Amino acid sequence: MVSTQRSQDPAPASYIGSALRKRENQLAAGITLVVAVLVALFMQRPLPPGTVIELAEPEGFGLARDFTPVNFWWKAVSTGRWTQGPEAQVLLNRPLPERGHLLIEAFGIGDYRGVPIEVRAGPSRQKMAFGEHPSRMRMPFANEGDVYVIEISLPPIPESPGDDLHAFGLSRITVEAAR
Amino acid sequence: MTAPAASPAIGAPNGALFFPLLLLATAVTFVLFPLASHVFPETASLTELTVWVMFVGSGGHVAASFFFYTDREIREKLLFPQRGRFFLVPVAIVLGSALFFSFTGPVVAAWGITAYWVWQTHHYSRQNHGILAFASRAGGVPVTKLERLALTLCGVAGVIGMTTFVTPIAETGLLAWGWYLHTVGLGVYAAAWVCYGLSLLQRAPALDMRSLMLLVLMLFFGPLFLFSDPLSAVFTYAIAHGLQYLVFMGFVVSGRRALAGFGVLAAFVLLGGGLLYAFMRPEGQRGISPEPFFGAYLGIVMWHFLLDAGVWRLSDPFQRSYMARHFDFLR
Repeated sequence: MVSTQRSQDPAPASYIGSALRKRENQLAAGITLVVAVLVALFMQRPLPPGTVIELAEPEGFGLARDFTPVNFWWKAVSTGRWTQGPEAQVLLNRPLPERGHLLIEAFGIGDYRGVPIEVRAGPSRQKMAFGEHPSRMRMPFANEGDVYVIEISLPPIPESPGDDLHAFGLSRITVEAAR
Repeated sequence: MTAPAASPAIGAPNGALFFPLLLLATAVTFVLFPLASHVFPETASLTELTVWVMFVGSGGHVAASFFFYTDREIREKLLFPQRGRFFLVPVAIVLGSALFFSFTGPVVAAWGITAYWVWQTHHYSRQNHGILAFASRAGGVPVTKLERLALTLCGVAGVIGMTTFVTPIAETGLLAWGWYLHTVGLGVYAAAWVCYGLSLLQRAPALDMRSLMLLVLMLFFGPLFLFSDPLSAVFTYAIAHGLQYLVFMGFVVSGRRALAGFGVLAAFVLLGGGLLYAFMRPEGQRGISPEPFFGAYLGIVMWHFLLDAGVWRLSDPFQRSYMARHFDFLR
């Protein structure tokens, strides 16, 4: 809102041109680039076996999480986190290992109780059904070390047009080593 | 604008009121929103208060900026001489935005919303620089390069960090980059604090209003990296920005005819804010397509960005002398 440009500065040709010429903006761009490269290098390392992706309360600080709950999830409750729609994704901060198992702990109520939902991790996919209380299912996965997203698809339920979105909840996902 | 040699103005009546009010405006949302979202989520009165604060701090503050069009001096010496910037371009943006969101598909529209949010976050960052400039002017201590760099990095972190919270990230295809963006934002924010620390080494921190304001400005985008819900993570600082702006505007309208000025400002906040709210949510009226209204709403907010960037540009002599009459520490 308030410009901090000093009055002795030469009149800028354009706002963007003037901004690009400022030393602190150039430094900020350089620092951002370095950070981006360092983070990219860090994110190449796969999640180690035993990593638990916790979706239940308490919600940790951003630093403490292994995933980003964007768009697809309601606020966490004590048993997990409800999906917001027929598709939900868990964004991982590092890729899954090339081989292993995912131990999924989830629950479905109402029309989603006992109905198979599909879990996808890169090229691996498996259908699994859950009861009203959190239960565990295991699925194997294999990929090329480039899977950063675990996707969940809920089947359409004709009797439930989607008004009640609190139907399927995910408690946690544990990454297990290949057996 | 050169810094004065002495620093008496911070203790003058104007500065002594202005900066505490800015701090109070910032504290309102930084306390209220996390409380309403995390500590007392089921409390109706807190929820209602949150809605009102959001109304005033979002559409209300945008509408308040249009007060400048009612000020004859501003009109004749700034707005009319630059008709293109302050009339034609904004109207074109409003119409263009309405058309853009009416006729584009979800992916292009999503990128449009993302670009809007980038501009909006940059707009917040510019106000933060402005507040530091005001505090430095009042305290008689110029802004150092490291302090400016630290605030700039905070702004960059804000732009990167907000993408995972409030932009349609699934439609833009940035979803797979969500965690990466969040982490880069956090890293840049950490770098900002390193610069802030180095600036303290350059000049020993003092227990004064300027140091406190700088610390608050450093914390401004912090909620992005502390919370996982948009209300606490984004709207905490977004609405704080709006409330801070209303403090600025309160000083602009105060003067010889302060009562009338405050009345007009309140009318802008309530009526203009209400109009913007209606534009944002026209779907409640049967048969009305929301897209053009939503586009026009974003266009009006962008008009506010353009207007502010011009009116508060204190490197220009007219704006400097105008604002100095309302903020005595700028004289």
